[in-house]
Amino acid sequence: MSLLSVTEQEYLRTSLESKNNNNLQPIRPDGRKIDQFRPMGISLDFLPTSNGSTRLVSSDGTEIIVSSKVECVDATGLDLGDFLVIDLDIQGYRDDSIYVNQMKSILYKSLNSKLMESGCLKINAKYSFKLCLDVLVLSKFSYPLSLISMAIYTTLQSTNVPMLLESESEKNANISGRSGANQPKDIELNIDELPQFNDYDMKPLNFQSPLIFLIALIGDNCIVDPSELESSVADNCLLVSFYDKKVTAPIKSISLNDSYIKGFTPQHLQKSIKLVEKIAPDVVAALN
Amino acid sequence: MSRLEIYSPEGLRLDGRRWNELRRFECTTSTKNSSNNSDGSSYLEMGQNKVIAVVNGPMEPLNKAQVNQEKALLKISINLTKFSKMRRSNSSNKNEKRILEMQTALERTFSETVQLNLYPRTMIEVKLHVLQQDGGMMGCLINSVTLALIDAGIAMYDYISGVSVGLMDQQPLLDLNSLEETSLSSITLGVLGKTEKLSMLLIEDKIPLDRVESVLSIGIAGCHQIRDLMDAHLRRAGAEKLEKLSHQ
Repeated sequence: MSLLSVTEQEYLRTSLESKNNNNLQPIRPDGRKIDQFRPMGISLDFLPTSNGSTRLVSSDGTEIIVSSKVECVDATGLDLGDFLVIDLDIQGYRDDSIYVNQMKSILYKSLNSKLMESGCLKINAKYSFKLCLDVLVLSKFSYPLSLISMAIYTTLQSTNVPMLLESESEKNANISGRSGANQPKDIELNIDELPQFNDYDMKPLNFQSPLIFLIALIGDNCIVDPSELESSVADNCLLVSFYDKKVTAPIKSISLNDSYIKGFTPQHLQKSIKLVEKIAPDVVAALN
Repeated sequence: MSRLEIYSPEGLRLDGRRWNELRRFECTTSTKNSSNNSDGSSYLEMGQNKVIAVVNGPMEPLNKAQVNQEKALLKISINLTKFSKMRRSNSSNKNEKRILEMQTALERTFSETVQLNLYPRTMIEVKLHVLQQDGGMMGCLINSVTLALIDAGIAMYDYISGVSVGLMDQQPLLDLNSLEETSLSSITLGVLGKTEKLSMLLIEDKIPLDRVESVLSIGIAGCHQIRDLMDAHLRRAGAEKLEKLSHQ
């Protein structure tokens, strides 16, 4: 938490609250525009024992490591929620603290339904992949959810899953092609066999995970990617998810500090969604 | 017996090394880009082991009861990530007995070598994150703590370098990988600088007494090699840092 005097806080607030007249933008302490992110660096695939991995370092010193692992599971009797495991470890916070659990549940909710819809984890009628995402936040200075969602995005983009042996995938294609005929004998055979994977060939998972944008509301202004100082004087904060070229649920508000908490108006919401719609395609392009 | 040929009659091991060769050793220090993060850090790759070490301190202890008027308090914690092995472990590795034992062993080793008496009433905290493990983890942890402590500028008498040595029949093998570690009995040792003083010796398996000497001597030679590698890196990094400062 930053230690600012009352005067310093007021100064910061006034400069961030300033109205958008004469084309003047609110003045952010680090000189960014309202729709500008802080620079960050991403390195991919540095863990050979994981299917995909990312190390994200932001310019303020936030460092996040994400690893994805897939395993083959028997899908019969499993719920839709059993195919994704997200583990979040933030240094300096207990695993069972509200802070960590809230973030974990937002990530899980935004990811799980889309992952199930896309069907990219399915192997055949009986077997499926299970995706385990481990997030390790080595250090953080502002609310890290947005950066975590970006790290997860690049991890899943670089995740490779084992390919079925050719004979196996043909057999599956045959079975699904003949699903109209529905011969019970074939289906039984299929159920009894474990899928056989190719030893060396992998294929990309092909799933674009939703991105979560953090929009801080100060006065009438909406600013993206608030830094630690900005978070400490923000009225409120909106989490806006972006998936498949449009803004989607969940959209959620969180408070970033204890001293300035105000509600927000529909105009704020509209403005934030517009802002995300404007910047998100560029962010997605940059992450690809 | 294992079906694998750990050491071939031609003198080659599973990964093509000879008996006295180390694995790939690569390290970086000051991995964090901003100074408000930590006082020192290191990233070490030793074979397939990947370890991040972060040093904070000397700083005010979080708990007043921990204050020692004479010297600093050294705290080392190990975070063995769930994804560090080939198969993901479902249980959290924190507070596992094996991990706690390793932490105390490291704390004891380093509190002898770090000049803690220079920093009274403070705490020095070292956090280790194991991203991937591949045999000889303890040696790798010792090396990464040494690098991070030196990067943080904390006074030490000398380097401590660690390596594991296994015994295959009569033949000692230096720096075991995970396949070798599971099938051979091994020891881990920590050596102080270029001396032959052992600051740590960890024997968890049975080793015939008449073979211990040859095992220790190859281990000490290996530790000296690692010390030279770390020294070369730190001197290079120091020179780069100095050059950057002189340009400012």
